[in-house]
Amino acid sequence: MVDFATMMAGFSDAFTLWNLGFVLFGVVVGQFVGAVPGIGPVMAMAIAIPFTFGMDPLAGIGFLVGVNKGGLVGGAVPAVLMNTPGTPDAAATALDGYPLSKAGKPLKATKMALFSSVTGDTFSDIVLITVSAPLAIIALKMGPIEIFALMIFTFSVLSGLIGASLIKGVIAATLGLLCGTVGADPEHYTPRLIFGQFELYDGFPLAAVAIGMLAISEILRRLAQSQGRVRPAVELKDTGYAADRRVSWAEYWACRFTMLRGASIGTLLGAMPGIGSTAAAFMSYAATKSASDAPESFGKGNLQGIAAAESANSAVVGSNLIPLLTLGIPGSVGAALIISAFMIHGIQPGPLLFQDQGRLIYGLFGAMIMANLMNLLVGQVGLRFWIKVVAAPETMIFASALLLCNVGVSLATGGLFGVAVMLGFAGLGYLMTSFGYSVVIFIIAFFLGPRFESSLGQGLVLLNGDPTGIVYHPIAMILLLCSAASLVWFLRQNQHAHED
Amino acid sequence: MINADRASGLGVFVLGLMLYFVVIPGQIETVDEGWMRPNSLPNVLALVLMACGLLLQLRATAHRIENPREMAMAALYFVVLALGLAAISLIGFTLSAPILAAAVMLLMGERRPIWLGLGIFGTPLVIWLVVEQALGRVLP
Repeated sequence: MVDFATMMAGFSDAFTLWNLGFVLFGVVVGQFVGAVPGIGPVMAMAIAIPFTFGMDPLAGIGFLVGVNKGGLVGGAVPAVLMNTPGTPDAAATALDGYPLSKAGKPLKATKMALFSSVTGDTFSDIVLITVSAPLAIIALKMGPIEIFALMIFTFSVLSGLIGASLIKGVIAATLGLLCGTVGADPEHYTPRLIFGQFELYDGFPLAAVAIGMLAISEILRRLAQSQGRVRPAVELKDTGYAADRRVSWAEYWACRFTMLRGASIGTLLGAMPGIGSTAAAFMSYAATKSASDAPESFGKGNLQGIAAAESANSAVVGSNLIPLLTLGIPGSVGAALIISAFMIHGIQPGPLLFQDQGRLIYGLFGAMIMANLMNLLVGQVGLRFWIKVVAAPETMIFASALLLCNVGVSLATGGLFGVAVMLGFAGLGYLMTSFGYSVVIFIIAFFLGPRFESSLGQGLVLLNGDPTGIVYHPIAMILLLCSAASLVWFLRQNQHAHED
Repeated sequence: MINADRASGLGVFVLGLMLYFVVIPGQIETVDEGWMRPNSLPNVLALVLMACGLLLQLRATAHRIENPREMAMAALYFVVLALGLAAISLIGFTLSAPILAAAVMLLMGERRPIWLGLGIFGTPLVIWLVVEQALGRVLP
């Protein structure tokens, strides 16, 4: 599908100084924002997307990948030092990281988090590089009916897995799809739901929706919760022994099976839409604890606990891109943001990506591998600095983030109309999260909306308007049956939780 | 305290109802050809919203809105942001950014002069340098 010369050309593109510089910059930004509780890599990626508009596609996407990967490493710093994870993914890391930090070994804990994170991430990237091209060949054989059924399956799994209520998940997906219908309809090109605003003819701008719902709504929440309090500075204990400030090779090697298990769990769960890195981290932590000879040592500063959590949550990042690159379906918000960067650069994600943009994709793979290496190098040097970042004032961080969002969206959308849309979606995002609805499902549904509708339209044409004709499409039938089964299963789970 | 599911379920049901009977007929042109008409998917989605809104009433969880004060504060910050947007459209980003940053920082309780100075003047300056000078793009 992609010849060897194209692969090599792609990899060599990733190794140009210019592109490496942007990956490095992304890793530094990611580790920095990951270390600040409340910002996190997803918000940073959302803010950064418009600024990649003027960049070369590989540099821009490499930068975002760097932010995403760096954010996971940075997120472990406040988890270890303050028991306040910078990202939800790092919550499991805090279970053993924080006790180790309290015992006077904060650098040992953060370095173990760094090493296991890079190990898990690299494992998952290798899986991504080896399986995504063959999977894309299979995906190319899927027609609009199968794609439509796959999207139904994705929505049903996402609705059930994310959040506490299946019904709320379905509502979030429906609202996302509804917002995706705004603008010209794909078949007749008549304007829909634009209320006389001709700027909406092409639909709501993705950057404005993503930044509004992910960044501004979260900033609004943090601002409303702040109440004028200033976060206390973090005091670091130190035992005074050099061995407690580093991770020896023997300590790293002793965790090899734990990291391999964590990376496998993270890679497997990351390839499925909606499960996410937080679940992977806790699942890996639980598996390691139950397999351990000394389970009582977990939660008291066991390095194996940190290795289990970090290798799993970081492994999700690479495999999250498998459904994205092969089917054009993002399995997480991070993947949805990367896909929006593809679209900003005029690149249509999906199975044809390997055929049409093979060089760029292998450049992306090269950038991912380099981002792992840079994560390691930047982390080795920067961890001492990120420890200080944890105590930075929220007032300064959130005021700066707000200004950056305003500028970023106006640059991406070409004016203040996009900023107004961003504000509207910020309000919607705030209300949705306050009432327990997932903005993750909303954004993925919003992004997939136009493709969902066009697949449905094309499918109906192929079936000559008779939906019962779907029985002659076995893959679509299997996917629809799986969707129905998962909905029933999730409803029963909700019912049990409700009764408990 | 307000039950989040019942309140939002009612809101979603009313939204679906309004969409189906008022908004979609008024805002989407009627086309009488093709399997998928412009209003087909929006109508289906509006019906799904109505059904889910009703189901949420029947199967509400115990999730409650426990801090209405926080929502009021969020609404206040939302108004500040909307005023900030209006200021940008009237006097431009360069002049309005320090005012917006000052409003947010002071509302959050920041009183330290160094951090206030950095937030109010430092950040807009860095943005101006990066966007207008380095990237060559025009600020709003």
